[in-house]
Amino acid sequence: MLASYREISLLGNSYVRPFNLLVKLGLVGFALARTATAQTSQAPAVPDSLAAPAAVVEIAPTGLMTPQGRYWSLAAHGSDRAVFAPPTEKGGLLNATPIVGVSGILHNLIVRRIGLEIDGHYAWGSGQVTSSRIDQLSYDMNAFEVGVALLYEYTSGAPLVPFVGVRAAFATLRRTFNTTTYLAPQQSLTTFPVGAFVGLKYCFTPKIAIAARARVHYLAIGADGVAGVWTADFGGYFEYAFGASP
Amino acid sequence: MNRRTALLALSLAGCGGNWSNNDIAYATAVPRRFLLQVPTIYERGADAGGGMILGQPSAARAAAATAALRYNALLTYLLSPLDVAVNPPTSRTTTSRIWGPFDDANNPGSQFWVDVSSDLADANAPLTWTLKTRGTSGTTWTAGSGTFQPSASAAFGTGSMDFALASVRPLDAGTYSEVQSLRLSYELAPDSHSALSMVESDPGGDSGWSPSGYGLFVRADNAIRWRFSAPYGDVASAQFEVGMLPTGAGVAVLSDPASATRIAVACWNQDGTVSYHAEGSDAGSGAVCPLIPSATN
Repeated sequence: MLASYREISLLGNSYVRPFNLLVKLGLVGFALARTATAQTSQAPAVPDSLAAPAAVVEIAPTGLMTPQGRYWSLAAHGSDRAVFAPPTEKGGLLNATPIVGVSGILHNLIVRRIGLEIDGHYAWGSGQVTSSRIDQLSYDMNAFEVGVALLYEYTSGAPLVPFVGVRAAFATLRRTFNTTTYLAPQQSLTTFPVGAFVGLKYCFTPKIAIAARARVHYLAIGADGVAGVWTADFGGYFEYAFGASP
Repeated sequence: MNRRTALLALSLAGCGGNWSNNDIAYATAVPRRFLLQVPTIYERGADAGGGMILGQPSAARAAAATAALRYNALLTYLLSPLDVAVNPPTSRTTTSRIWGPFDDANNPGSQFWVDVSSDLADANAPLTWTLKTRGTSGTTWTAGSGTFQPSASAAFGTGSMDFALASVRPLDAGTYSEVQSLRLSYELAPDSHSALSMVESDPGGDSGWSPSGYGLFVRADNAIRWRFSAPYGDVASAQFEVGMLPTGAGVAVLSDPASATRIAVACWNQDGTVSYHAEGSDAGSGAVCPLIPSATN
């Protein structure tokens, strides 16, 4: 009640009648709306947010304290994953695989050009395990990953957008052996890859873009005397932005 | 290191699961049971009786099938615990893998485990395994042990195993109580596998186990050569050299090991009926019968 009283008092009337209050509230709301419209029209032509209209402030690289809205985009990814370790045919634990996925990116998170990406990926492949004790043991494998990444886009509003980022993920891998010779159970691995990426995005329009991207990850394994392996994904993605200004 | 740091380190290093090539390499120490047993298709006709007259069910085939059935059952009893190696190992060291301990379903309160060890860094090092059991009293026995020497082509090689049933008799007195031990050697090759085994039973006991042991050779097409000894006519322990094809046809050459003379040659059709039978030292070689897989083909 105290708060309500003070708000009403600010309208300059010690005795407030309901009709007068409604009129004055309407006038104040109209004035605030005009002010907001004027600020928006002065902002650079960068995407506004539909999902989260809260304003954020740019602090780099121009230093302009420019209000900037967040917006979401969705991306479809395709890559080849290379492994910086011997392949399973030479006693290694992992082979190169194709990998596909989707992600959602929240742009302009907290500050301009910083984005938060949440992704899910699926990889699959087959191969043979050969070592001094295992001879051409064929297998099929697949992997699921969910990850979260922080990315920084170097430009905004330009057709070419270089970007970099870091990523952490949860991954589960499974492989099934095709053999009657060996006692080879289905094997699985749950691990937490961490890595970084760099890429270049080309924007056809503010809403549609394609990108080439390279990622490196360290994937902890902890088996057969191998602590982990480095992997690299080379690929690209198609991105569609929701709410980006045309 | 506080708890949060420990959890973070565990998350980064640690992974869960059983993703390992070496686990599979250790499991090669343990032979697949079906590779040492007579293929089950040759158990057909066991204990069916039979005769020697053309068109009748073959007695020789029945004897071969009966011996196979009994031999297979013993190996199933002894080797079944090793099947746990089809699962991921329970624990690992740099030179060993352990499966178990597991509860012994046949002996409540008892447990068993399989321990395989080898230096995998040495490509020529053999793999050794032991099967141990622990009774309700806490006493531990070594029920079986074996070695496997891989050949250049990894999964193949030669192996041997010993089961001392007498030592586990306090644990499982009622099963195969007449058997003292089983010694078995085997060879796994890309196009065939073979096993030689000897069942030692109680002295003087009428166990019915082949006194000369068992010899099995299995060709890639599942044709077999099967050797055992069993009573035949007046001969207490006739040597059976049997060749059988997956079609069901077969031949048996019987001899008396004491006199080193041939007793009989018997052949049977796909349906198990006698197609040829001759007795005496001039009974022939079985060349008139279906092809007998030899130890060299």
